[in-house]
Amino acid sequence: MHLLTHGKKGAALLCSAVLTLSLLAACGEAPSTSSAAAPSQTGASSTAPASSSAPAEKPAEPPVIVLYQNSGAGTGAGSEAGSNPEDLKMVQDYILEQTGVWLDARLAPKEGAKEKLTMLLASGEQLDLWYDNWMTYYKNGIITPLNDLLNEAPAVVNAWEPWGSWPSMTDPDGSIWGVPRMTPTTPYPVFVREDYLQQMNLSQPTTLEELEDYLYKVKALDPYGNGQTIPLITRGSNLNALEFSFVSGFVETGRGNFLDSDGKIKPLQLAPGYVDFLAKMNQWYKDGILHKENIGWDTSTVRDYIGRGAVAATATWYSDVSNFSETMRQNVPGASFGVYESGVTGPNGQKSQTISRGSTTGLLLSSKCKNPEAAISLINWMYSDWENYQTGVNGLKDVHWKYSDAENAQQNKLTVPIPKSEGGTVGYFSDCTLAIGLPMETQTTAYDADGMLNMHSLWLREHLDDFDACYEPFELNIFYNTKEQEDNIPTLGDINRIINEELAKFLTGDRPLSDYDNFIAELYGAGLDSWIEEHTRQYNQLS
Amino acid sequence: MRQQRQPASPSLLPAKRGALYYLRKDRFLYLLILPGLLYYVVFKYLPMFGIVIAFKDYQPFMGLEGIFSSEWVGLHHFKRFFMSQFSWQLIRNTLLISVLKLFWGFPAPIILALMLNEVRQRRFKKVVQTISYLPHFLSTVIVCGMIRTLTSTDGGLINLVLTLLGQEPIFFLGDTRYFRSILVISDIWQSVGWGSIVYLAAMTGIDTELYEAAEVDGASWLQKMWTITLPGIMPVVSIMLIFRVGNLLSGGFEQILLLYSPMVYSVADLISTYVYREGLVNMKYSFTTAIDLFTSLVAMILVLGTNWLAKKAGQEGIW
Amino acid sequence: MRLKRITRGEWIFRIVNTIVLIGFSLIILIPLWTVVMNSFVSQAEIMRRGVFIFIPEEWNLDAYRLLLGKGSNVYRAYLNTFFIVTVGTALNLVFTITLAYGLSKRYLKGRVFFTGMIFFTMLFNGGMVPNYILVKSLGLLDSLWAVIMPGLVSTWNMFIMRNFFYAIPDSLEEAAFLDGANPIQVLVKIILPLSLPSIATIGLFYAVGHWNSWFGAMLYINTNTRLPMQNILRNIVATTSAAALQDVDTALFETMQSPPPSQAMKAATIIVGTVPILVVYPFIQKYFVKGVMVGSIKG
Repeated sequence: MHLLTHGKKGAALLCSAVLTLSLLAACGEAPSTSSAAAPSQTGASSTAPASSSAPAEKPAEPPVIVLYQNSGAGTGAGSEAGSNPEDLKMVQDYILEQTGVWLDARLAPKEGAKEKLTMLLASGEQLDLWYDNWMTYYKNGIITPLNDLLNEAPAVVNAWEPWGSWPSMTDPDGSIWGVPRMTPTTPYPVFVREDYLQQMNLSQPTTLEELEDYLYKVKALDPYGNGQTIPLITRGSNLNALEFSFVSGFVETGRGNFLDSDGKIKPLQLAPGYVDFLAKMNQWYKDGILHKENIGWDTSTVRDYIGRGAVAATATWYSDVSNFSETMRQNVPGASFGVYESGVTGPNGQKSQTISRGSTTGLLLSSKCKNPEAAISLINWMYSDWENYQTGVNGLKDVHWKYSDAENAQQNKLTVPIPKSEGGTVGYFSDCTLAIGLPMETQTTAYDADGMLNMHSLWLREHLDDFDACYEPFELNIFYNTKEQEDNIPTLGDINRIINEELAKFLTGDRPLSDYDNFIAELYGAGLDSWIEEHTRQYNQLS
Repeated sequence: MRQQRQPASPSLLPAKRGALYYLRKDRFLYLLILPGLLYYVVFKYLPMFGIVIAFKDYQPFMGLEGIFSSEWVGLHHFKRFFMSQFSWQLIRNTLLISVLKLFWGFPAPIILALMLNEVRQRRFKKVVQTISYLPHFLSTVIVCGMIRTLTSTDGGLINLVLTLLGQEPIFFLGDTRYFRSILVISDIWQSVGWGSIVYLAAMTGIDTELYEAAEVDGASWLQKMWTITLPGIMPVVSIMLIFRVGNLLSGGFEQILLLYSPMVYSVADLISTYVYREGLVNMKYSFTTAIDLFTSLVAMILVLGTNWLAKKAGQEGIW
Repeated sequence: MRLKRITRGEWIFRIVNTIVLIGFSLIILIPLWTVVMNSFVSQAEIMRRGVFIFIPEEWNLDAYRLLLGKGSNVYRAYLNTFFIVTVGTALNLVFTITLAYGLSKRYLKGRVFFTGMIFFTMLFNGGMVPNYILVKSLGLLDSLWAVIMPGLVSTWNMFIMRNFFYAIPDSLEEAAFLDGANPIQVLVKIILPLSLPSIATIGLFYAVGHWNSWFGAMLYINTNTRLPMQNILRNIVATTSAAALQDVDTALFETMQSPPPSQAMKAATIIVGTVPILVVYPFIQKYFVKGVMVGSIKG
C-alpha cells in the first residue's frame, strides 16, 4: 500500500488527460489514422467521397459519376465480398477509355440496401445514379427528368421502345423520370410437369378443368412418393401469384382493380366472380392440391421444392421454375416442365393468367448531378452494344469472360467466365451495370447439357411476352401514384393488411366463405370509400 | 496531508459547499468520467435534435437542412398511427409477446447459472457452459430457418414425433395458438446460455467465507443457494430486469419478420413489424421516428416504475 | 472443510441437476449439429433428403472451398474484423471502466444527473440520419473508426460494470485513501485486479458484440475491402433469404436471376464466422472461477 503515494498523482492526471484527448483525436484525425492502423486498407483517403475507390494517378479532368448499385445485380456465388479492387479498376479504366467518364460504382449491401440509400441521399454526398421507384422522388425535385437528355441517348430509347416500358416511367405531364428496368410481361404461367403427364397419358391442359383433373390425378398417383408430391405450388405470404395465374378465368376484369358500372375504380376483391375464384382455391387447399404450409413459405423454400422435383404444377414467378429446372433434372432424371404456349382458359372462357404490368422502378438521375450529360452518355454506351453491356455485367472480354461458342458468338451471345487455369480472373461482379432488364438479357441463349435451349433462355426469349396467352387488364399502362395514395388514403395500411390476412384465412378455411360479405363490410369500415375515391380520381386524371 | 483526505463517505462531508469545492475535492473522479461523458455528449446528445422530425414532414433526401426546414405537422404521425384500427392490437401483441418472453426468458439464465454453479466437476461445468452459449452466435435468419425445418408438417422432427404418437401433424407457424410459444421457446434456446454469463460472473464475486461459515452452521445446499448465492447476485438481477423492461416494446422484430405470415398477423404483428411494412417502402422516415418516440416514452414509464419498485425492494436501481 | 457431509437430498439434487444439464446440452446441440453437418452436404443431397441431416452420405467440402478459396477478400475481411475487435474492445474497456468506476462512487456530486443523462440515451436517440451526418462530419466515413467510435460505451455494459463495482466493499479502498492515494491510483492498483472476472465478462460482451455487428459497417463503409467478416457472411445468407423480405420491394427482388447459394453455403458461412471467436472463450472462462476475487484480496 505504501506504493500509492502522492508522487504518482501527476502520472494519473496525465493518464486521464490522454484518455480525453484520445477521444477527441480519434474523432478529428480518424481518416489519416485509419489507413495507417488498419492493415487491410488500400491507403486511399476517405475524405473525398467521389474518389474513395479511384486511384490517385487517374487524370483529374474526367467527370465522375457516382452510382449506387442497388439493382440486385451481382448476386452470383462468390460475389459476397464484392469485386476485387484491381478487377473493378480494370473495368472502370476501360469504361473511362471508352466514354471519357469515370464511373464510381458502389455495390449496395444485400441487406440494408434501402437504409444505406436513405443515408447517402440524406448526407448530401455525391450520388448521381441509383435504382428506385421514381414516384417517391419526382415531386420533391430530387431527381431530374430525362426527356431532353434522352435525345442524346438513342440506344437507351430504342432498347426499351419495343417492350412498351416508357409509359411506366412517365408522369401525366409527359416527363420521363428514369430508365426502365421492367416491362409488361407474362411471368405467372402455369407450368405442368411433362414427365407426369406422359406417365398418366394426359396432354398439356388447356382449360382449368383439364388442369384440375391433372392436379387431382397426380395427387392420387403421388409420383414423387411418400405422399410428398405437391400437386400445385405458389409463392407464399399472399395470394398474389394465385391471382395472377388464375383469377381472370373467374373475374371478367382480370387481376387488378376494376371499373365498376358507377364509374368508380374498385379493388379486385369486390369484383363479381372473385368469390368463385376464392372458393376454388379453398377447395384445392382442403383437398391437398396446395400444400398446407404454402402460404407461410418464403421464396427459397418454394424453389427448394421445385428443385427437389416434388412439384407437379406451378403458379409462381417463372424464374422460380426456369432457373431451377436444371437442379430438378439433376435430382430427378427425365423430369421437365412443359411450356404451353396458348395458356389455360378459365370457366368464364377467358385466359386465366393476367399480364403483369411494368414497374415504376428504374434507374434515376439525381437533380444535383453536376454532369447529367456524362451520366446519360455512360448509360447509352452500355445499351449501345451487347459487349458493352457484358462489360458492365461480367467485366472485360478475354480477361473476365469469353464466348463459349466462338463460332456462333453473334447468334448465341453465350459467355463463360475464364477460369484461373487459363489465365483469367474471377473478381468482378456487375458493380458497373447500368443496363438491366429484358432488352439486353434476352439476347443471350444458354443450352443445357443435352444441347437443348435451356428452359430459362427459352422462356426469356420466346414466352415472356406471350400476351396472346393472357388476359390484358384495362389498367396495363395506368400507374397509380403511390405517394399520393399514401397521403390521401390514411388507412391504406389497414386495408392492405385486412385483405392479406383475411384472404389467407378464406384460402385455408379458417374463415368460411359464407362470411365474405362481412369481410367486404370490414373493408368499408376500414376506409375503403376513400380508397375508391382516390383511385377513381387518379384513374380519371391518368386516362 | 493525511488527515485532510476524507474517507469516501457522504455522511462525513460538511453540509453545504459550493460546486467548485466538490469539483476540486473529487477532481480525479471527474477526470475519470470525463472521457465517457464526452462520448455521450458527442455521439448521443448531438444527434438528438433528429427527434424533431417526429413532428415534421421530413424526407431523408432533404438532408441535414431538411430536418430544420421541413414543414411542422404536429402530432399528425401519432394520430395516423392511432387512427389505424390495429394500433391497439399492435400494442397488445408487442406487450404480450415481450411479457411472455420476460416471464419465461428472464428467469431461465438465472436458473441455468444456479444449476451450473452447483456442479462440482469443473470439466463438466465447462463443457455444458460452452455448449449453452453457442446458439448466441447464430444469426436470427439461421435460427428461423431451423425453426421452419423443425416444425414443418412433412419431415419436421416435432411433427414426426406427433405422428408417432398417433396425432395429426400441426402447421405450427400458421396456427395462432402456437405461434407465440414458438417465439418464446426459440428465444430462450438462443439466449439462455449467453444470458447466464453475467450471473456466473456475479457469483464469482461472492465471498467464499460466507459459504464456509454457512457450512460450519450446517446449512444445506438449498439454504446456501437461497441465503447466499441468490442475494449475492441480486444487484445484477435487478439491473438486468430493469433493462429487460426497458426493452419490452422492441419484442424481437427480426425473428417475427422471418417467421410470420398473414395467417398469424392477429397474434404476431408488432408495432415494429407494422412500422417496417408501412415505413420503409416509401421512406416514411418521420412516421417511423414518431412511433419510435412513442415506444420510447412508454418504455421510459415502464423503466421508471420498475426502478422505483426495485429500490422499494431494497435493490440497486439505476440511480 | 473438504470432507463435508453430503446429505441424501444433496445427492439426489446433484444427480437430477446433472441429468437436466445433459438434457439441456442435447437440446442445444442437436440443431447445431445439423447445421454443422449441412455444411458438408451437397445441394443434391439436401434436395433429396431435406435439411435435417444427421450424417451426410458423402462429405462435400465445396462450400468451404468456395468461401475460403475465394482469395483475398475473405481474409482481408478477417483482418478488418480482427482490428475492430481488438482495438474496439480495448477502447471500450478503458472508457467503460473509467466511467463506471466514477459513477459507482455514491458521494460523487452530480452522480444522479450523469447517470440519468446516460440512461436517457438508452431509450431515446436521434435516429439514423443525424448519426450518419455526425459520423460524416467527424471525417470517419469509410474507415473502420466509423464502426468503433459510435459504440465506444455500451450503456448496458457500463451499468453492469458499475453494479459490479458496487459489490466491492468500500473498506478495501479506504485504507488506500488513508495512505494518500487518489481514486485513479486506487482504480488501477486495487480495483482492477479485483475485478478481473467482471472485466472479462464485459470484455467478452464487447468483443462478441464487435464480432457480430454488421449494421454500422454496412452504413458507413463504402469500400468493400474495408468491410468486416460479418457483412460478407450476411451478404451470403441474405441472397438466399431475401425472399422473406420480398414484400418490401418485389420488383427488385424478382429481377435477381441468379440462383442463390446452397444451404451448405449458409451453414459453412456460420462455421467460418463463428469458430474464430469461440476460440477466445476458454481464455476468458478461467476468470469465472468462484472465489477468485476474495482469494486475491486475502493474498
